[in-house]
Amino acid sequence: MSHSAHRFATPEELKRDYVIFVRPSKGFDDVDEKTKQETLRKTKELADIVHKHGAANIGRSGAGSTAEGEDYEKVMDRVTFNGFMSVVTEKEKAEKILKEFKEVDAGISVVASGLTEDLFDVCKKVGLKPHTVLYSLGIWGKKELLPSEDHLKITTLCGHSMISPALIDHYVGEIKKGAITPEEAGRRMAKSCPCGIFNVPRTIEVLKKLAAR
Amino acid sequence: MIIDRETCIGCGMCVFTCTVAAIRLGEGDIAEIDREACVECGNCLRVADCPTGALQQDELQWPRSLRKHFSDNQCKWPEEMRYTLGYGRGTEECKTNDRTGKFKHGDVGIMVELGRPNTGTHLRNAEKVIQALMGAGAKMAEKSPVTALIGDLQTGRLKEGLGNERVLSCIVEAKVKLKDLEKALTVLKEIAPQLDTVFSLGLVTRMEEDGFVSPIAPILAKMGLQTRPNAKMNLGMGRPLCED
Repeated sequence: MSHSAHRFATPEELKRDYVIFVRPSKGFDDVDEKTKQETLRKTKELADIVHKHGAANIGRSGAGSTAEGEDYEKVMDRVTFNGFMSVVTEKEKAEKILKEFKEVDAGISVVASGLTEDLFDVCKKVGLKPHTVLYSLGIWGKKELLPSEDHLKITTLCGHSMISPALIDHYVGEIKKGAITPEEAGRRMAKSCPCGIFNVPRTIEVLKKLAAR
Repeated sequence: MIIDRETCIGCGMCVFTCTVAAIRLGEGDIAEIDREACVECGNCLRVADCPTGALQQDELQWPRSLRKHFSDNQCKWPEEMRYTLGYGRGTEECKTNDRTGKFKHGDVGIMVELGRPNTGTHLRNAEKVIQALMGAGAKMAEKSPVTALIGDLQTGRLKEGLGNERVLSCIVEAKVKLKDLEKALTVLKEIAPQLDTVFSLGLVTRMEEDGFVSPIAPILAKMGLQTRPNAKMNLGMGRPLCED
């Protein structure tokens, strides 16, 4: 899911989009049954911290996400060793979460995506030092094939590109007709992206903008 | 994916969910799938809630099964190509590097995600990028789904019969030494207009000792390239922490 580095938006809009994920490592966190159980316990402990601070989304590949309406405890009850992904819409929340992560010192890899300068600032305040960074150099190649920039602001919120531009157009049409609210459309769109990385509040902002045209 | 013409009632919900616009309402308002364009992501099946069950996943044989493994975010890789604990289309790149130490100081990871965003790609585009990067001295990532498709490690040619398979996206992952980064980026600039799709380009680097200075910044500046304002970072919380 290198694509959390490629979420497309203006710097101002990115101030409402921080992704935090906890990722166990193959060959380290799954080597025997005891280690696996410890990995699950630590994953839940870290997820509880994110949940406590009011994440916009928490989810796990193969287990569903809170943004699509799944119950948080049920999502975390499902046994999977791929950690979890989450979204918070405020830098301050990201800071509080990472501060508590540091105190817990679970030893599982933690990754954050968002405005580079903001995340560096958070790291300095919390006392973390980025180890490895994936920088985005944007989109190359036949860019005339791309949908509009407003579409990209929603479609790139899914790490696996499961949100189709046509689905956005469909819901914008329904919102214009008054058949659905932007909030409900955003929640339904999250169903295409069950990993927990989809930012519904940002999606609602874009849907409202598109529907107002 | 297939649609049973006998039971489809033409509600059209699957049309909107298709990630590559491969479904349309055809004759008699019955949904039709363009099997060549379909990447087997399964999004229509999960999201459209087909009211009659007309939408179905057929059994996929090699090499078409590759479409599903690369495109369906809820489909695990077969055991021989399962290199991570997650569902991604590539490796863990920076995500677990504080544990694995795959990228060391002086290494730069090159992540060419073809077909992203929203265009999809034929695997033949991956072959072109692989060959271009290998020509620039890049080493293909070990234990990566795309690397596993290479049939000839000397030329970078894919295994026979894969080029026309179409996927939602795939990630060509390679590594160069910092001194060779400019050459690798130059070949990517040259190859980009020759592809019939887009790619999102990511570069992975260890940070300098203080954690906040990127060693690739001077090279990008020299080439007139800019990074996006957002990035993804491994925060070094893994234990034991892998230092060079």
